[in-house]
Amino acid sequence: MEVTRLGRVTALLTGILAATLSHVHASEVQQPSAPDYSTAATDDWWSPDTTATFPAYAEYANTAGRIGIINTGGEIDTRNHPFFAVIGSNGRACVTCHQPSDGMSLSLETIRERWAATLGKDPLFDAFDGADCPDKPAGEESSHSLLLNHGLIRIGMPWPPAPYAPDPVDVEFDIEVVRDPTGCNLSPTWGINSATPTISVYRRPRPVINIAHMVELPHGVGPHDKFFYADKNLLHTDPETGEFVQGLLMADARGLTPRNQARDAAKNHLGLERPLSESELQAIEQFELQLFGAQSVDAIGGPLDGPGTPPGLGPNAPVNVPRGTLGNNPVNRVFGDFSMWTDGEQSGDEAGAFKASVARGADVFYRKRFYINDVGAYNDKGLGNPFKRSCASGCHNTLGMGMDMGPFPMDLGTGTYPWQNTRDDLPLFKVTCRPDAIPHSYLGPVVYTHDPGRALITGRCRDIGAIMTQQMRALSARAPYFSNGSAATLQELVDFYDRRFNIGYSDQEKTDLINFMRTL
Amino acid sequence: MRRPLTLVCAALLTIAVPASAQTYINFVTCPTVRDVGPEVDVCFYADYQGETYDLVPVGVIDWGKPELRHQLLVEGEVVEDQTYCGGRRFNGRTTVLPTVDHRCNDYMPFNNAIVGEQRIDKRADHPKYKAVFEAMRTDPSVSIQPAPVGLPVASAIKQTSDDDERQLIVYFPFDRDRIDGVTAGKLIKFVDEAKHDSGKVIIRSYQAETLLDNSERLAEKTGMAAQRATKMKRILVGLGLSEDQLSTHVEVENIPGKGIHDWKNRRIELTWEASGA
Repeated sequence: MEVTRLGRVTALLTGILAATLSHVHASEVQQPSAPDYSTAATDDWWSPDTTATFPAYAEYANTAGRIGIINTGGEIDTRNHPFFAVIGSNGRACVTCHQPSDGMSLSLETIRERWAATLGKDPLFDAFDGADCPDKPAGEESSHSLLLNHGLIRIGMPWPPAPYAPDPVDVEFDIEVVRDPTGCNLSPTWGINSATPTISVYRRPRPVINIAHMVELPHGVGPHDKFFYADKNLLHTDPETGEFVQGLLMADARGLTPRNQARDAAKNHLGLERPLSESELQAIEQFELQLFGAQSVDAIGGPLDGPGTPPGLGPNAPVNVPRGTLGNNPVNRVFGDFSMWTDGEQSGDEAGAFKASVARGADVFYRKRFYINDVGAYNDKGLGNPFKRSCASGCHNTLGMGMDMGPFPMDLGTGTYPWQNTRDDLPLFKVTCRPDAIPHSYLGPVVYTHDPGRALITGRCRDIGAIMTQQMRALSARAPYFSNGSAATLQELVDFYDRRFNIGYSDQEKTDLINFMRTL
Repeated sequence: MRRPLTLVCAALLTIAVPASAQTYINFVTCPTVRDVGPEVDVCFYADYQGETYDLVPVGVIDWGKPELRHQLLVEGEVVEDQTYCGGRRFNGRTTVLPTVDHRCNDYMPFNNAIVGEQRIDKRADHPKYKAVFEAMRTDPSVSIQPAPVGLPVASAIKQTSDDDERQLIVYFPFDRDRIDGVTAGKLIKFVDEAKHDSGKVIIRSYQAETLLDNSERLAEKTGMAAQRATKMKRILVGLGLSEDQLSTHVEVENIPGKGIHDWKNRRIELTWEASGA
């Protein structure tokens, strides 16, 4: 314990030192040694092929305050670094969709700013996946409606599903395009009936911070360091090492490791025709595993890191919190203790009142139980239907991160009838299961969905609509939320859950929860 | 129809075994969920032939927890003098049947008459972690460090006793190949020991029918035993055994149901024949 505490203090000091010595972004005091950000300094946008140093620590402004990004490997020269360099044919780099200012994801605000700044010429808007369909007219906002309105990138999934595991895929369902507002799924060139049958779904870029947590196998909850909680099949293995892996990185869990994900993204989003080289893969993986981030300053509450602040807040927290640890018990709560802020209102100022609200929100997150019901690939994994838990003791139980320790994509209903927020702009699929297949556990053999999710990988009816839960860090930097961007704000996110699970949050509880989440 | 049976020690050994009436239950039902308090999980019950039964069997089996929108197959032996959820408890297994049945959707709100138990004792003054809460007051970072003490869990997992280190019996839900978490842990231990030996591991896989109290017979689908064997083989190899070590025997016919622990016939027997044995 002593060593660990010392480690936290050391890292905290390191972070503070780094913040003092290295580049702090435009709104901060410029240090004499600050690197040249001349090509990226007018706004927070980091362009590919920028000649710059990625600092050991930097903060970036957002509407709720500032996010801090720690690079525990120290500053790096991004010239020719495969995360930052244009290595494919479309002018993008990894950083295009994983912007430091956006928690290494991509906010809708940033996307719109980029459209305005470049009149839609930025490689981000490449027609292949940055348009609703590649055959849409170039340069028109309407051709990019899903990206400009909901931050969605087109993902073309092969139909029938291509095997991502060694075993062949036994596809248990047929799929029909009921509605095709983008025109892509019925396109003779790009759609399900094309020469290379493809199903287009639309998803948000996931944040590339705290990846070290996402790849850590769970500790202390054996046998689930080797077995999926859900179906007690063995965990997937890394095809390169043969070691068990988590598979938390992508919405449908197809990219099992940072290297897998990088290969997939380079091919499908960067237009790279050749395989990534070993040195490129190593550089990307190493960079991603040393990035940590969280909100560092709240615009109302002030600094989130340092003495007197909850230990689970601030960018140093993800660096120091033990990885792969269950946080749903009385001793370890997911984001730790907030009691030091409970009496904040006694200060009589706005910051104190805000802190008290955050502490109440944490308590709601930790304690308020509700019926979690009819969640496909979740309630049916042995939990029972319904299952009565709080946010923290249910799906968001990993210490310091808030994703699920028993990870498995699940169908919360964010993109599936009848639970989803109404979305006339997304394709709608009718998925019909074979009579001999085990159907979706709560919707039966016929499911209407905007995104079949994990089922497009496994071919299983039980996985229809299933999407991997997400870490809860950097929420203020990367709206909108859910894989299909259907919650524009944290208010809409909370409202969805309140409606979906009939929780009955009071207005005050909603406000407190939102304030809590914006500090993460 | 319940099946009261009297088991008598047939071998007439020197130890006298008192006769006892045992009640076996085998039925399919819609579970009703009962809210048993704001701080605890729900429980499930069903009324059957004039009795109320708690629908979670004694012990922790993580594949049979009842689900609304599904019927539940209940197979077991009633445990006298134990109740939970307002119903009698039983040893045995439950299986959630896969077909969605929207008729199974009954909630019983909390009424203060039946109050559930905490799975984890959360009292801050619990002696096992009182010191931790004390420490948090001066050092809040304790709250995000690994738990320094074992948490006081009310009901520990009960290990079954019908296996030893060289034999393991794995039971399955009806018509499924899913194993449970306790068994998964045992398989890790089993393989850890067997993989360092050149001896054989024999997989014997069975499928079975269940005789319900209403005389209906539920038969597992053809090929279920083979499916279980294939999955088990994959798990054992994935945990470190070589395929050469494995020998598989599949009983393709359903074992006839008798209405007495028919769930025990849906099984795989793993036997490790050590090289030096």
